[in-house]
Amino acid sequence: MKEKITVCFILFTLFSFPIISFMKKKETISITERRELATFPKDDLLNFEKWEDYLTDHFLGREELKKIKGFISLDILQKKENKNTVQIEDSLYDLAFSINEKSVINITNLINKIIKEYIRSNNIYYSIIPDKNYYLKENQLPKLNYEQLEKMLKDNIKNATYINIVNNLNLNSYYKTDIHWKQTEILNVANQILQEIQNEVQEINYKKQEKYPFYGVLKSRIPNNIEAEKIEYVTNQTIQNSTVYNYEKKQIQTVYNENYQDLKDGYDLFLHGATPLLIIENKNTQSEKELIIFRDSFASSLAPLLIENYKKITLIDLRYINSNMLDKIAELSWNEEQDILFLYSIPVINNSFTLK
Amino acid sequence: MVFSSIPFLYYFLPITLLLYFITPKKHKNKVLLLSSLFFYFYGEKKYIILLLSSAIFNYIMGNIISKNKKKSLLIFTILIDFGMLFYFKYTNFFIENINTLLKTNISIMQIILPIGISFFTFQASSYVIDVYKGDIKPAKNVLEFTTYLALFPQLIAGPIVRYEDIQKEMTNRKTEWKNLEKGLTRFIIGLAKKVIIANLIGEFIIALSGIETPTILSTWLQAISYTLQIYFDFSAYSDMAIGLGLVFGFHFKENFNYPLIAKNITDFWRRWHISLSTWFKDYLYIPLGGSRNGTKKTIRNLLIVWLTTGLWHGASWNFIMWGLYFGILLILEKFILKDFLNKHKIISYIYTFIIVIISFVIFSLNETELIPFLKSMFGLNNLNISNFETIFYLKNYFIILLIAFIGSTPYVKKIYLKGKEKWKIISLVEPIFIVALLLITTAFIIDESYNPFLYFRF
Repeated sequence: MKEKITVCFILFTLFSFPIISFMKKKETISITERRELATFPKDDLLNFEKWEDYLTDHFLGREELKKIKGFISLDILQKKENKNTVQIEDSLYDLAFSINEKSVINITNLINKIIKEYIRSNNIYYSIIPDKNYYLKENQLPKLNYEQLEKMLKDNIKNATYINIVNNLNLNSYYKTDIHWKQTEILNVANQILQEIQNEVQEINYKKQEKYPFYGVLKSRIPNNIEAEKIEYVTNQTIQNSTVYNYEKKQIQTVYNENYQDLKDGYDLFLHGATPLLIIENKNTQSEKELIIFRDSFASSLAPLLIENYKKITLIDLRYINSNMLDKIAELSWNEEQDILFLYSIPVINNSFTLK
Repeated sequence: MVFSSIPFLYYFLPITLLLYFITPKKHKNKVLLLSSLFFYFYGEKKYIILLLSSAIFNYIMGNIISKNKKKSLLIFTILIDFGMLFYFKYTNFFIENINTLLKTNISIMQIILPIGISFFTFQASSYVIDVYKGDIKPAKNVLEFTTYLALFPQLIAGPIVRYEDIQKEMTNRKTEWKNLEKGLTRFIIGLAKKVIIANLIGEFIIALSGIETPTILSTWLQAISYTLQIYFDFSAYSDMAIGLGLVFGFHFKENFNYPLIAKNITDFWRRWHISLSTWFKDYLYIPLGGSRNGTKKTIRNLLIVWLTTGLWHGASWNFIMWGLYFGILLILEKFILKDFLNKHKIISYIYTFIIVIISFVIFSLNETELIPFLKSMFGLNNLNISNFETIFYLKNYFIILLIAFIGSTPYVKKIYLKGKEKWKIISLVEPIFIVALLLITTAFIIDESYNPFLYFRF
């Protein structure tokens, strides 16, 4: 009898999950993971990898199962992290790994190549955005050796000036549930960059605004109850009057995405999220100065703070556009007066093979 | 298709079970064959032809050899089987070494290794050898033989099932509730071993190999983890294969017997990947003369067997070193250490533990990584004994390591069976426990990015 019960239990589980998964309404996005779910591979039926993604993404009770896995990992197996994310007090941290030397060399080679092949100006700068683990006390979490990484960049990047922003940031400069920095906490960083590039800083007045709730990317990796944050941003007449040209969409956009409630990722509030090339134009200035930023997502919240001092800021994200294409884009031009800034965060520097 | 995936667990497996059990007995093998071919096609679209060709060729040759027992026919069949294996698995390794040795510049060929080729080639060749020796009768028809060779539970990661072991069951097997329960339970336990223990220890290895400043402790933990990961992953695949076999009425032989409690290396290889070591013993070591022709020839035979055992695991020098390492140790045990190890049990366990751990370091690292790693393990690279990072990761994976250590001994099973005899409640909650384990394992599959298939080189 017991055998029959065991077999029936197991078979019921094996059959009921796929049947109900198949019948249930399919979601298109995962709110917790802030990503689009895989779609039915109707045009590529023999691509079994796509089938696997589709069946896994639409599995019955996926969100609950992820919570169960998190509970088993953290509470039963007493792991300190789930999916490489650690909670310390009320903040979440991405567990750092050691320096990926090949990746660091790769990004320095890429920067040197771009400087050599495209850039005509001599006003070239670069800066590193530390991950927030850097600001933790000693022996709270394994840390990447920031000083060594900084030295490697300094030793290998030619013909560009380093801007060290480490001292203008602290733990509070970052979101608790995300890896990114808060725009309202990087006004000093923006001032420092302007000071070092243009040697002048003007007092800029901003009005603070906020959106709620904001759950960062790290929240999706850990099942713990963590309070939602608010996402604060600053604006003024210049920012409001500036236009953002999106090269990929061939559209003019605003600096901030006001449809916050529709965003998969709250951080896409800034410049509407990840995209290959953006051109911000300041309509309020007489200046002809132009800045080109080679960047990752961190620059999305920084660029609005620099626009007051420029006529035009171009943001190039080499994760989505190939560096060999830079002389083939009509919207991009190179001249001797431009300021150039390479601004990359530690996660991208240490995983730079995503840059093309 | 791998067992530890949603498509296998919740789509392929239930559909196959349904079709299998609603199909009349005389057509059940056809269901198994079609599902096995789809299983292989899912992961290796173009090599399905290779699998089918191998089955048809060996079936035909088996029939010819059974009627006309010429040694030349056997040699021809084996040359074709192993020629195919050599082409797919060793051609580029051969070219690379020729280039290095003769300073030539022969181009590397674009060859993708078909998954499971070593397993089905060894099964097919054991079949024709057994037919030649008269140990078995040839398969009744090509469908039966192809079903045997392609049987999905053991197709891609073993165990190496010999035709003689399941010949009767190919045509006459029963569906019993007892077997279904045992088989499904064994499959789920194997799945949990793979997904929860082996994969998490795999993550631990990645974390240790990525720490900023390695220490002597971190290298030892990494070395121990290599052993635990490979043991739990490989034995889990065998558990799943044996369990699924039982569900369909086949009784595959055991492939692992708690090898990590072995008292010496000879004992270890009686407990580790038993189907492979017995294959080499029966089809290579004994035909070479085994230990019957004096010390020199025994040593020669052992070295040949262990060189080929190493090569079987992959076309790379570290696998050759791994095989020869065991070969030399087995020779030493056989001729020198045997009595000493038998007398000193504690020393023999420590000796076996260290030898096995080092063996899986050789197995896991390439030639350039190996020596620096071994030097670090033994304190020759000026590393600190430990540091914060090492302790952090040790604490992070401590419980899973503890579970792995305890789980690698027979004591858990013994205690469980005793408890089951004593307290009836254990039997009553067993179905709930098994389903809960299935759901927990599913949760890990859903939420985990690290789910490697370690046998792609085999």
